[in-house]
Amino acid sequence: MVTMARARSDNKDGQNLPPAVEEQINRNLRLLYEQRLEQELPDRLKDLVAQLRSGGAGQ
Amino acid sequence: MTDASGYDLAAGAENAAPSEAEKASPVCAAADTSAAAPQPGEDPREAIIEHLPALRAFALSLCRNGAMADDLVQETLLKAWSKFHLFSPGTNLRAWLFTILRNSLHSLRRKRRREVSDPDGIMAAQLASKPDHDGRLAMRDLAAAFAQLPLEQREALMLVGAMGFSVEEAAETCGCAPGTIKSRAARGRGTLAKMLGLNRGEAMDLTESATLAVINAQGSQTG
Repeated sequence: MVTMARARSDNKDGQNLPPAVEEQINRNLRLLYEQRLEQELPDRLKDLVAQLRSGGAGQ
Repeated sequence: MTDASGYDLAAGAENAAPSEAEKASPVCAAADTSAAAPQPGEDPREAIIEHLPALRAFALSLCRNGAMADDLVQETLLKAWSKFHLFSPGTNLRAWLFTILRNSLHSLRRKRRREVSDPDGIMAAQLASKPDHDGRLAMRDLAAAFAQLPLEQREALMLVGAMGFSVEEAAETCGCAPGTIKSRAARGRGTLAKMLGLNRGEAMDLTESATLAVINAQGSQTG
């Protein structure tokens, strides 16, 4: 994989990617996002929701 | 009041005073069709809860540390809940919440003057990867490359490229011009393409069934 510094220096002003490559990146970023979206909320956030609903915090 | 994680809930709500919620309120004009209207008698703030998974996924994309992402979602939830009177019904709740989250992150970064890294590799270990045998891009490579982009480019790419925000909606959320969002997204994609070798014509497609099976299996393990 090309390093970040090299990639950024080659891409200072952005570039016009072929639409297919652009869509490919978007599609895979969606996969990455959806993977995170499907993760269960951690207990501390569930607990906080319960406290807010019961009027115990953030009122 | 302190929750199990040691977070001072009362202080968290109070600290919302000059809040990101207040900064976020005037701009979100697009209709929000993603949340159902509250039932009669139901607390309208319940609509916030529906957006929590998306808020957390966005936070995980902006932070390089899972604990920090959860801190950010917690802070956003507290601010939005306590300042919900500042939200204009009928406007875009999702954009309002995301604006609070990203403004909170920028405030936190200013305080810390640096981004928290992922020294233990916790986030990296949670990322699903494509099977190694095919030698092409793995999801881990994409996530690792994405994490190296500047925060502003990650915001733009995640909102517009991954989450389906319009350029205008993303601009509202980030408090900048639509052209700035386009520019940040283009620069981010360009850097990703170079880092991942896409300009050399290598395929980056994670949609094959075998890949998805691995991703789904690993996703369920890390849930």
